[in-house]
Amino acid sequence: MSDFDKILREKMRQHASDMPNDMWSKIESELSVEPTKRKFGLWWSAMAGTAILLLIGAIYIAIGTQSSNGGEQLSLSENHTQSINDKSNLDQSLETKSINRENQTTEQSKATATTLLGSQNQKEDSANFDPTTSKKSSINKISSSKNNNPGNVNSWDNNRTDASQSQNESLTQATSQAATNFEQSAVDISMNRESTNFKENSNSTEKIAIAENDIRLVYEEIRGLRGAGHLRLDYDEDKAIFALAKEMEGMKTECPSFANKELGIFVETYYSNDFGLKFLSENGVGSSIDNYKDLRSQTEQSLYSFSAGLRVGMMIGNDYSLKIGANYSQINEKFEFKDPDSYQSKKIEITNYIRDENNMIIDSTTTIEEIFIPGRTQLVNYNKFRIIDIPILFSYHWNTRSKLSYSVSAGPYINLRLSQKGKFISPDKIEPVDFTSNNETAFQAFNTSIGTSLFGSFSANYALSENLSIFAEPSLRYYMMSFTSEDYPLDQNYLTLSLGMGARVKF
Amino acid sequence: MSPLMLDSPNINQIIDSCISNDRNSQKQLFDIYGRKMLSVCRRYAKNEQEAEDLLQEGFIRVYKYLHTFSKAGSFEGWMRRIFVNVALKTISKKRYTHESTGIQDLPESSIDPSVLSKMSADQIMDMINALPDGYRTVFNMYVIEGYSHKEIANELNIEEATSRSQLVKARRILQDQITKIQKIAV
Repeated sequence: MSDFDKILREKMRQHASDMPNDMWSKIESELSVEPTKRKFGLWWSAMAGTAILLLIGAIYIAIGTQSSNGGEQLSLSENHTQSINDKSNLDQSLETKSINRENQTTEQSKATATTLLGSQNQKEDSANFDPTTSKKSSINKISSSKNNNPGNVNSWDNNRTDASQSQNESLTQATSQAATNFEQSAVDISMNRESTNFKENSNSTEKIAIAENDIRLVYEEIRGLRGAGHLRLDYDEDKAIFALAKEMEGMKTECPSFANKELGIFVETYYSNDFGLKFLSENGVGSSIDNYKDLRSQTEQSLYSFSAGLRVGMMIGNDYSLKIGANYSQINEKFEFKDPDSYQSKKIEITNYIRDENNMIIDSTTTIEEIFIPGRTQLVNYNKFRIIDIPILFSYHWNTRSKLSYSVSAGPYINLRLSQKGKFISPDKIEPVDFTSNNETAFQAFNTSIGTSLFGSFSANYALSENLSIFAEPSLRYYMMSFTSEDYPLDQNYLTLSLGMGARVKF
Repeated sequence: MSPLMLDSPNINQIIDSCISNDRNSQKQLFDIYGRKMLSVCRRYAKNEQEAEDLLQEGFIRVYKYLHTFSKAGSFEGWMRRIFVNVALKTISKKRYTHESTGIQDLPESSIDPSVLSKMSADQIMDMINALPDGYRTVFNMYVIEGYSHKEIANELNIEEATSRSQLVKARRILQDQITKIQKIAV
């Protein structure tokens, strides 16, 4: 550097201009609206918060599901209603109820009683129940009262006389109407509910199962008959039967033997084809960001990528599940660099020969020179970003009557490790450099972890059997944190679009 | 506040407070470096208004990216780099034209450095600001900021030869002016 330059630099670097009076107020006003850059730690806080919220939500829904089952209300009519308003009432009610089924003849002698089962043999009777052989169907009374005294009888009285004595006019009318309409072919279904303490019965679990089957059978029978136009039931009565069936569903949750069905565990494995959309944005300082960003965008191209993983899920109620697992994703890109002004250097040996008058060589001198051959450089390299995560997903399931079902899932992917292999244009030398992980001589531009990414998906499931289903799952995943480190001048984020296929096994 | 405080060890405390978004510390940083950075902006801007806009944008970027400063090097140098980058972003690339090579061989007239030493910074500043835009930018980057021609070429998206030629022409203009001042002084 010449003295001229030194003096100029020294003077100019120390030069200070007079500041306009309102300059700070302008900056201050702009600062008040400038968003602050989030730090790495904040992402982890957000991630932890999300996980906690998901957990709390899952527990809340799990408890809510059980409460709603226990709180199901039976509603026959104003004067003939059993309401189980809270869990404690249900508990108490369950202790005083049992459902027995026995053959019984009505006073019209047309009815065939098919209820009241209390043993395995009786269950078999129930299984052999044939509505076509029945003559008449009448729902005489569905009555179950809350009684705090264990052993007190809560009856479904099949006695028609009792029914007529009931204050429930609508139910009686419905029963009579049903009997009239079914003189020839209706089924007489009577249910008697006797008070038996479940706790005192060593076969209580079995009885609940039997009772559940009975109630379902009755319900299906009635619905079937009504659907065929043979039986008309008023709304309250139908609702009551359904509610009773639901009550039996609720009883399942009270019984430990059903716990595994309510909180079902399943495992799913998947593979997806991904396409990563890369977003480059300026992040730091000290470089001509725009030009460099353009250069990187021009030299790098997204290719089809993939993900694969395993997730373990737990059903929460009938509709929700929480999934956690391990995921491996690989984002593939093609790096292609062309330099039309490149050159190749070669060292050549030049020998000068000294000849005499007769053209004979009498001496020689040899020199080595480096020559530059202009040309064009073209470099193609396939870059790979390998990502290992723990997905924590919350799912909602739509179950249909067919083998098809649908679900949506969302949640964070917590990154454990990011590694990469490949080349890109360096920000300082504007030439291809290697950025491979674990290579000490490589350009250090990337983080070893990328915090949290957000995942959302919709999946269509097809049941192959009771425990095995397959699914197709289009999904989106946004990597919130930049792949690059803070001292690298560009942020590098991705949004991946995926179409996954997988299988799910229930246990 | 005096710019002499630039190398004060307290600057690290001020930086930390600025990162915490403490408005008083941000004002303090502005008071310390504002006038110098305004000079940087004025050397690259076409006029005073543009210089003030650059200063404003530069400080916003400084506060935004202050957490990336490693504290290992000169903070003033780090800041200056930001302001130069902000200035370069606003400069249209159309200002530059591709020049033929070979200008670097042009002879430079001899200048007595003592003449330059006797000149005030404001005088030199005025001379630099009187240069054509392209010449001025390359001259500032090469002579004042210390960029290499390759870096200038990358930053301005021009050929290295263009950068060299712009610098030579800028020097010649400045030397001519200084020579005139020298003759007047004699």
